[in-house]
Amino acid sequence: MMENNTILLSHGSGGKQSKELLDLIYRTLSHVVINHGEDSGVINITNGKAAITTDSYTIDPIFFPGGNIGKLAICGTTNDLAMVGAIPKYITLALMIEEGFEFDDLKKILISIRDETKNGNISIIAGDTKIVSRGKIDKIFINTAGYGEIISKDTISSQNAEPQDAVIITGDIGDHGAAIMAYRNGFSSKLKSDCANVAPLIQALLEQGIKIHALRDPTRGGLASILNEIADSSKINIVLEEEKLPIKESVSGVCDALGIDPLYMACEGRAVIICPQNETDKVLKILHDKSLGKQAKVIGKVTERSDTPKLFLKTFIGAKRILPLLSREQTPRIC
Amino acid sequence: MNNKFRNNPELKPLLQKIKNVIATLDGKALPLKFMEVCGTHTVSILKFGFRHYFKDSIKFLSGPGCPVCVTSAHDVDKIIYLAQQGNHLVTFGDLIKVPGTHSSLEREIAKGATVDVVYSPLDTIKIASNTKKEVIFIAIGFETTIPVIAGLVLDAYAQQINNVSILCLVKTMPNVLRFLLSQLKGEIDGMIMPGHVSVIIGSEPYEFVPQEYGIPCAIAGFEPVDLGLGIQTLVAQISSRDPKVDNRYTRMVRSEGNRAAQELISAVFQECDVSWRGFGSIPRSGLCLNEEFSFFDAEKRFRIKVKDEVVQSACICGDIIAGRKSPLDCTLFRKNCTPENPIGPCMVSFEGACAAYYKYGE
Repeated sequence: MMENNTILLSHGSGGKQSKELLDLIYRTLSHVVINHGEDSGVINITNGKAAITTDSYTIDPIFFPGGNIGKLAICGTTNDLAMVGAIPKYITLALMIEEGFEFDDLKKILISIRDETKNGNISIIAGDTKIVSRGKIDKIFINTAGYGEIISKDTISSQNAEPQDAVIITGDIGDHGAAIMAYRNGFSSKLKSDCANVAPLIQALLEQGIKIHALRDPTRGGLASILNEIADSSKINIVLEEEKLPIKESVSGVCDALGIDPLYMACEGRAVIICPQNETDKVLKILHDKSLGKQAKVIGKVTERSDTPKLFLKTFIGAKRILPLLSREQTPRIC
Repeated sequence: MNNKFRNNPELKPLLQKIKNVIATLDGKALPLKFMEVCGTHTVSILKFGFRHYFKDSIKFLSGPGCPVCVTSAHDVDKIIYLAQQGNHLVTFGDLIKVPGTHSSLEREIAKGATVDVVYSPLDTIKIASNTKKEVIFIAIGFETTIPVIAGLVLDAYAQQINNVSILCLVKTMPNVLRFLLSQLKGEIDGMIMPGHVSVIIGSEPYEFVPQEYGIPCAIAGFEPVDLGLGIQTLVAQISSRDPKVDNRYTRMVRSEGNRAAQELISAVFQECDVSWRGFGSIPRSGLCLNEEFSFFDAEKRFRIKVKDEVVQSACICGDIIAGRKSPLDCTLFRKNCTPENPIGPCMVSFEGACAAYYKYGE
């Protein structure tokens, strides 16, 4: 039930209220939607399968340590394609720009877009620009669509996690969210966003025949939110081990100071891989060979099937507690 | 993560030892009842799993250490009144969603009230310099926050920024604890004192607790190792029947506290009786601006017309703050009262016991 008649910021936070918003969209559009809750939709083409995705980007600040809105748009799109086992091929690029935006800033953003697409072997196949009068949007918004070719033999889906599967993350948790928070609050820190294209990591795994059950990039709502979604879709319980979670001390420092939880902070260059236990050694070896996957770690496992799916955390002291889907924006604390 | 206070190989053996000592305590009913005064401790106890770990041996009771939670509905009504009068309010984020008798700041903002959320009270100066409106900082918080609020008043005074005032609702620790203990005689076996507040006031103000009430006290930090050390000393003091104030947060807290911060507070404020949610008025348990700075007192500058209403509600925030009940005892918890639609302040604040139980649940 919607308790409010208007859209709130928290409807975009990746938590409980985002789910309400998506439910409304799915309910209203019903059978014309053929992709339910995956990062990209999958279609049959002459020689196999392809993936299509779309996303819009708005971020404050548009330039942040470790990237900018342009890099974020390309990586966000390629990562969504990779999450269904696709190699990104084409991207469309629509720029909505506020009147008064500096040309120099636009150039910097375009150069990031160029570098990121070039490195990822991706072509920009269509584009659009709209200029909007001052105050109607905040500086610049970017919308993309992405197209990729699926190389995974088996379907990768949030519904396919199975008991005893391992949960692996390709790198440290919460860097992007913490870097943005620190920057916005005027903390001086060396924190950098992890914004990166993870498609080459996934491609390497799939080319070596790794069987992946579920795959997600922990963006909005962070690790805890996407694992809750996977638990829910696959009807399973997941247990994470706190002492195995790779969180930089600088990240947990910023989070502690602001009273927010890094497990709910966005990452923009990480993937969470859920695969059979017997694949873990091979997966880690392949990931550790790549610079982006150097810190990859097993952080937990799927424990059992469940009609009331839940994500648990085994804490440092060995106690078990729930990591729920959060219900609103995380707000910084008073003291 | 390489935080020696969080992920430390000696932590699990330490906690096991504490459990063993509790099992051998003579003539003590279990579970032991420990009150954590500070909301941030409540969060740590739930977040790191201490409640679950000690579930048969220790019952943790939340105390009156969450600034938003102890603010009375009447005071929230005053804040809302000031917003409705067209003043420019400056506040900490937690306060926005706290319901008063008839409205909340969130609803007033939707109707067009001007409210800025800041992380530091000092930002108020900048805001006031850029407007002709009256700018009112809503001063809530304990000894941890009060020195910065004193800084705001001194800055406004020095720079002669006359459109700034503060609605002073700040509260102080020692006397509310005295009041609480006089009510809870014999019901508490130990107290974990607030780490951040203790950085400012030191350990001396708590000495009356073991001396007059015979209750063991620990000053502790917020990491798992800090909490383990705090709980260890409480159990050891019970075992040896030697209650005292044991500072286990020595990397931050000195027995005399932070003298400079104390001087800043006493330069601007004086003790007064204030009203607490769950307790009513408690003598000398808060601060108001002293004569020299009374110019900045919003209560004196504006005629705040708010009725003192008592609204019947099933919300038990008051009992939770006073350690009499747990959020799980509340009939509204998780059903009618959630973080999206909070009925009481304990569900709003990050440090509120209900929000912590909701988030870190069973």
